[in-house]
Amino acid sequence: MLTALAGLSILIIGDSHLTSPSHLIAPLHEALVQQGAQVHTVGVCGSHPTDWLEAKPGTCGGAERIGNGQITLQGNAAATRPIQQLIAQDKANLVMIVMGDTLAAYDKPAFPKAWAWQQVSGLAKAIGATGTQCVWVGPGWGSEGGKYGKTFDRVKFMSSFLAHNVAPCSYIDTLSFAKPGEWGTVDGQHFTQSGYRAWSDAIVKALPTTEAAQAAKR
Amino acid sequence: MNTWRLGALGILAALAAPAMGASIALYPTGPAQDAAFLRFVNTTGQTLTLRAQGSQATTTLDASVSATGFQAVAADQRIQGTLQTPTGELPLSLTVAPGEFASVVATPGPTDSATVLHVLREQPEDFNAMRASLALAVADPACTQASLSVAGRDVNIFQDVAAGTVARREINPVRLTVQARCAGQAVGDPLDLGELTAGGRYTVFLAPSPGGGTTRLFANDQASH
Repeated sequence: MLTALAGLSILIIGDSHLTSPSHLIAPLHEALVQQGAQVHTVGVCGSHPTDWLEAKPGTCGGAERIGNGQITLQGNAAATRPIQQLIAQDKANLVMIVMGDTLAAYDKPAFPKAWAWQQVSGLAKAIGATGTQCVWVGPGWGSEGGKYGKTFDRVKFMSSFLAHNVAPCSYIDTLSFAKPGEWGTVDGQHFTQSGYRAWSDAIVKALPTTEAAQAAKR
Repeated sequence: MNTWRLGALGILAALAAPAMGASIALYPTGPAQDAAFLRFVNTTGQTLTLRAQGSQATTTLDASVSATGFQAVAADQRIQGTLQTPTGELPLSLTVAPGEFASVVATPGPTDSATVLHVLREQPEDFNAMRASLALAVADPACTQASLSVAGRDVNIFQDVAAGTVARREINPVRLTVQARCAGQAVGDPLDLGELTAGGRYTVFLAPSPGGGTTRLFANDQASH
């Protein structure tokens, strides 16, 4: 069956939502492979966007998966890699970035706008400069409180900030896929396995409709 | 039969296992405070050399009217250094608040041989990769009621901007030529800003010119990583 993503080389990078076998590195990676894409997923827990312009050690683990291969958990060896290098090695047609919760400063009274702008624009522009299409997946509602102090107000602000600042990447607004608190979490921020499956299903459905995915196929 | 039972138990165990994710170590979801940025602008017409306190490294500010890019600095921490001018050293000491973008503008002083430093500060809110952002920064104390309009048209982009302040707004990413004025009087010829790009951030500075009067400088506000 021909699908909109068949034949594409898709590179997925991001934060802790990609670093555990029960997170997106399972359902999302597998779903895109089933659609005929070549998929490479690299997640580094706690990473920020401009960390992906260099090789920077992670602080809380990481994971990697290539095609139909197993998930490799990297523990203390986890590190980001320069996005330009990853794109070139994979000959990626499309980069998917899963990041937002590590920018939101949930436990701080003020949102760090200048820092967030530097982070988001830095990575988005670097990807754009390679001529590679990109799509940025924003954070989900999670649950309020939890060990990261997540609030619905702040995640809504974070998502809006990303929507306005990820260009030239397309933006997938995760908040539109569910009601606040609808997907269960284990800690307020990381979803249960069923929550990640629901998120993955929604991303896979939305991806072909994005300008970035359509341009990548042309 | 035993194998069948173990297999069934295995399936039941899997079905009964809670569908929980692995525990992720706590990590910060952002910095302790917002970033701060600093740049230097030179309208003296002379080469200046900047040295941070305690460092041998220097930065040269060219004699041509120029601006450096914004560099991230530690917020709320005193930044000290010296600016070497042809007539001597000027001390530099300032702090930049979280979320603030500060421009240190070196301009000719009243006697032309002296150099005066003006610090212009802003805390922008208009980050938007789909629009351009343009500011008018007035570093000339003699430039009152500063304004910036679209050249050749009666369309004001900024008006009545006070000396020592920065005004900023979002605009469409288009090719733009502007006319700066102080108290209604034109400052130089129309200034071609070129094609402003979506996500681009820019500033037109008005500063004292060597030999008197006011000069204008167009700067790109991008921050380095």
